[in-house]
Amino acid sequence: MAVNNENAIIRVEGLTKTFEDDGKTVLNGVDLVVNQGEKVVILGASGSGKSTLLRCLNCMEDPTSGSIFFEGVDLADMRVNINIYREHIGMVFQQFNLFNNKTVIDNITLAPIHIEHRNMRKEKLKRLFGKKEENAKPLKTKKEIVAEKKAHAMQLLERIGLEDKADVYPSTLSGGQKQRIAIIRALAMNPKVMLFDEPTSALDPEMVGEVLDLMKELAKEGMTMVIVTHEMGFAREVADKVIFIDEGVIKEQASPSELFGNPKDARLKDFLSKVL
Amino acid sequence: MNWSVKLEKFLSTMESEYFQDLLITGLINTIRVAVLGLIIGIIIGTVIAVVKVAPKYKLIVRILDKICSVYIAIFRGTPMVVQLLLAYYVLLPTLEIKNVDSIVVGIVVFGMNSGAYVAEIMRGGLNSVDRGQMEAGRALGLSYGTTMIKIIIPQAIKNILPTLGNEFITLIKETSVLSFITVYDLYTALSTIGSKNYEKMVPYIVMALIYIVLVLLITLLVKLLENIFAKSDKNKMSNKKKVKAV
Repeated sequence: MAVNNENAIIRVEGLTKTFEDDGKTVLNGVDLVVNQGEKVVILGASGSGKSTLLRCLNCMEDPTSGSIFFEGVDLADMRVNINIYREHIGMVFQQFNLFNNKTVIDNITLAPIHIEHRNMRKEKLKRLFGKKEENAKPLKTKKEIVAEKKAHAMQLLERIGLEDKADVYPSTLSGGQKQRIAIIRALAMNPKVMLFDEPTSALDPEMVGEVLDLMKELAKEGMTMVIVTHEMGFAREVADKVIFIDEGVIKEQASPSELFGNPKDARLKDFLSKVL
Repeated sequence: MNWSVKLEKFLSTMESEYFQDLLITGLINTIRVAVLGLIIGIIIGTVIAVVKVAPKYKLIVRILDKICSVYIAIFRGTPMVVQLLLAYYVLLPTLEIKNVDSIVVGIVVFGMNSGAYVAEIMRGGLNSVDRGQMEAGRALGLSYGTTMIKIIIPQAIKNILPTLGNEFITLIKETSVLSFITVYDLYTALSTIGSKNYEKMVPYIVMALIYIVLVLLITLLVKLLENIFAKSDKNKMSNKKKVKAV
């Protein structure tokens, strides 16, 4: 292990990704550390590998080689049950990806209820066959779990002012509403880190603000965030660290003021001159 | 040809309670085989389709995939009649299974046959669901199977509902070959009625009419279901739910 940073929540080492179908190498040796509470913004031209890097962090894309340590566990290891770790890594997509066949409230509560219920079942089995523990907490019933998670979901909906949309289907919502609900759906899992894959790129311009405002709120509350975005203003305002990626390698990483104010890499200068 | 005499003969036969019961039994058996066959078919078809679209990293998935291909080849490659005959007159005696009602054999064979067709329909349905739905489920920590069952399959079924309706129609018409294995279906019933006084022309016309009515009813049912699903997509929520939510 190169750096043993106690504070790191995600540490990427020597990550490469080659897509099998076209043999294209998208990531070519990426090292990255995301610390607790840090906001990391990833910039890059389209095709630079920035989305792939983000999607590798929770193994939505399986890395070809290298390691992704999440709280010290290497997620790239095929023996690791990835589902358990994904519970702690929230993800927000460009296309929202709300479940079309579920109402808003069910969208938010589906995974928390399912996972809590499964944990209770496991606990029950453990108690049945394992040692009796003194003053062990009584197990929650399914009803209690559902009520608890629904209440939590309603709280989150109230927070974004969409509590009246709890029982509608996603197809009736605007893009901004969908994305804000997608964000609180991830939030309902109480994640330790949240990944945002171009969260405002599919939105109409007038809806970008409401989504960015919610993300800024999360940032203020101390959420650890990794964000792929084209919103330079947002990056400048929120990021602790900005990363510029090009041709599958990190060309430059620095604080926003330094990266935007004094870019060193030629490709980055070129990129900034086009987007700013 | 004297149609009025023929019709009178038919009606007089139908006055007897015995023949009325025959017709009703035949009708119920026909519907029973088609409905239960479709249900079994949807279950088998869904399982096969899920195997077919699953990522092929694991050896077990690849083996299952081959088994499913063979299954489809067999059941799509032979006529339903042949499958019924093989099951009832070859398989059962070979395995020395006795006391099995022929209608049970009919239901199972119809289900397995339909499964091969529904598998292809369902595969299209599963592929029609946006990839992002699976990604969203997986990103939340749900397993592949859970996401399939809770998110992907319900949406796939909605998308393929009209095609499934067609499959149901095919099944209900194909039940007319059940008589090959002595199942008392609509065809057997009306054929028997016709034999009563050697007058089969009217019974056969009646048989055709009954099939048409059945198919029209199914068409109506599918339309109804489609509307219900379409509503659940767009509804603004009922008042009752609104109160509960707030």
